[in-house]
Amino acid sequence: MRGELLATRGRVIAIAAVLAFAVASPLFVDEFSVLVLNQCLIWGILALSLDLMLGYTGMASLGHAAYFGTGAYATAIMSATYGASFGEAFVVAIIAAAVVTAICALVALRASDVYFLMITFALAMLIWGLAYRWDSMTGGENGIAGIDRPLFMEDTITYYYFTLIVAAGVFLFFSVLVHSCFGKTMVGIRESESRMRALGYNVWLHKFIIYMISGLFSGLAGFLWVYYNSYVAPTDVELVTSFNALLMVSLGGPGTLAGPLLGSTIFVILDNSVNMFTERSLTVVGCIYIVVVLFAPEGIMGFIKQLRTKVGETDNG
Amino acid sequence: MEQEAHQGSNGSAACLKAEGLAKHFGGLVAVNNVDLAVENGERRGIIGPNGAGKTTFFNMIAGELDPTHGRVYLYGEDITRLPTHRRTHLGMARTFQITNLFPNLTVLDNVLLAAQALERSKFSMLRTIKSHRHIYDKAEEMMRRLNLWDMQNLIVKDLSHGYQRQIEIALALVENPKVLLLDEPTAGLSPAESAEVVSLLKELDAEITMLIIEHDMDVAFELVDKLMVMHEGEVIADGPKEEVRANQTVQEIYLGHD
Repeated sequence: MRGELLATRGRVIAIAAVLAFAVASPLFVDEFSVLVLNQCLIWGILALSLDLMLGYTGMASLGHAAYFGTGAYATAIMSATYGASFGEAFVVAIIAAAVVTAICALVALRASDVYFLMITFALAMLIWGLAYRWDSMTGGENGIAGIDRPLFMEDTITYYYFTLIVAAGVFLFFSVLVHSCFGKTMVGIRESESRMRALGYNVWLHKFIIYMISGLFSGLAGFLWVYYNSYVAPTDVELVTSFNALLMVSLGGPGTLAGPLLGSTIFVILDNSVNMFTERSLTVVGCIYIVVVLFAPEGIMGFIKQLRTKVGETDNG
Repeated sequence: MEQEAHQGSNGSAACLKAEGLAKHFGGLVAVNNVDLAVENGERRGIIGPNGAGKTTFFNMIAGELDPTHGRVYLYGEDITRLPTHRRTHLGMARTFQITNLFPNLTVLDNVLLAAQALERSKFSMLRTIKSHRHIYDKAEEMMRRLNLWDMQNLIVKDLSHGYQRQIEIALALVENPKVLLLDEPTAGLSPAESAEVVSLLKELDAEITMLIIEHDMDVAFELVDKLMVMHEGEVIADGPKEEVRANQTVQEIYLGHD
């Protein structure tokens, strides 16, 4: 019981420290770094959404770029083509992400394990094909540019704070969700689907709901991304985006909430700094992935937890 | 309407009924034309050598496998095509021959997941299971009854096989089933552990109907009133256990070698 309290206290302190850093950082870092931190937050939301499926429920999706991209393209089309406001674009982006996620979920949930992964991948390729080829709507290869933020958050720092508030809200909701009644059923499905069925759970329905939540929040990340970049292109929807999200979760620690945020932060900072020296950032990312899979299959958070258990054992012994 | 009509034609207290149940895997006939009628509160055993089709038959009753032919009825209602989870809502619960728990969760979380399975609150995204007092109390009561309460915070995969088999039963019992399907409840247990499980099952409410697959003859005779013997997918004997024991064919194929 005391250990549990200490762990909770440690967690609260860690979250407070990270939050304090995030709030204060625009005061002492340059504008470029604020932009990088903003990227960390947006990819963090995408990684968190994916982790609900991958880490908590055990559903490996290689197609989250589709829901992210749907949110992004819907935002861009509404804003640039139809001149919609920030709020209007948000509503349409979320509805579009919901519709695409629902359709994909209905198809993909017919399979599981590696087949599930392949189907989510194939569906994401369809969305990519639309973005790439539907010129009149999506601008094809060139994408859509000229998406302006509302005046009051036009500057980098205000938009950073806006994203920070959204990301904190998502984190808060997810931490309540994973500890809730429903959250426990996610873990139950990861641990044993057949036992869940035998206990009386409609496993398909639970997976569908989780898929929807995950897709909606990925769409939200896409929405934030477009206003961050003021630009959307087919590269935002391609396989590499899905893969990067997967890597962030695996790197940080699947099945934890701190993990995806940590993973996205490391990934974004690395990606930005490596790009200054070489054009082969993907090669570097690939190497990191191999190292993580070999030496920390549970990600950085899993590695920390393992160390803690070891220390605890020597303390007791 | 149709269901009522069917109940009428059955006219018996049979709570669980299988008619001409068969399962073919390609050319292999795993279960061939098996009839079974279990009455309310009855304890029925299914025995037979390895590969006799017991577990296949069992999985068709539980809903994990679709039968090739035949029908399954629960309280007169045709449940042949009903998915597993819906059968559980009708009062059926099962255990698994190969331990099937949530290995990375604590004992308490395992039992809590079972205790909330039939509750509407399982969809709640804002409240924890523990905050639902009646679910928590139900789990606590069951765990105390099986002497599992002291190990509530241990991770299930770290426990011995014996404890895992007890949790296997706890997950089914905490749902207050009317019909309990037990697939080799004592599989892999030492004689002492096995005796504990047997006495636990014997102490259960006499109202609970039980269908038990058992490999260990002594355990089967201890627990059940009637026995069905399967061999190569067919029923070769079905009746009161003493009669079955005396049956010549049964002795040859099953008991002969001891």
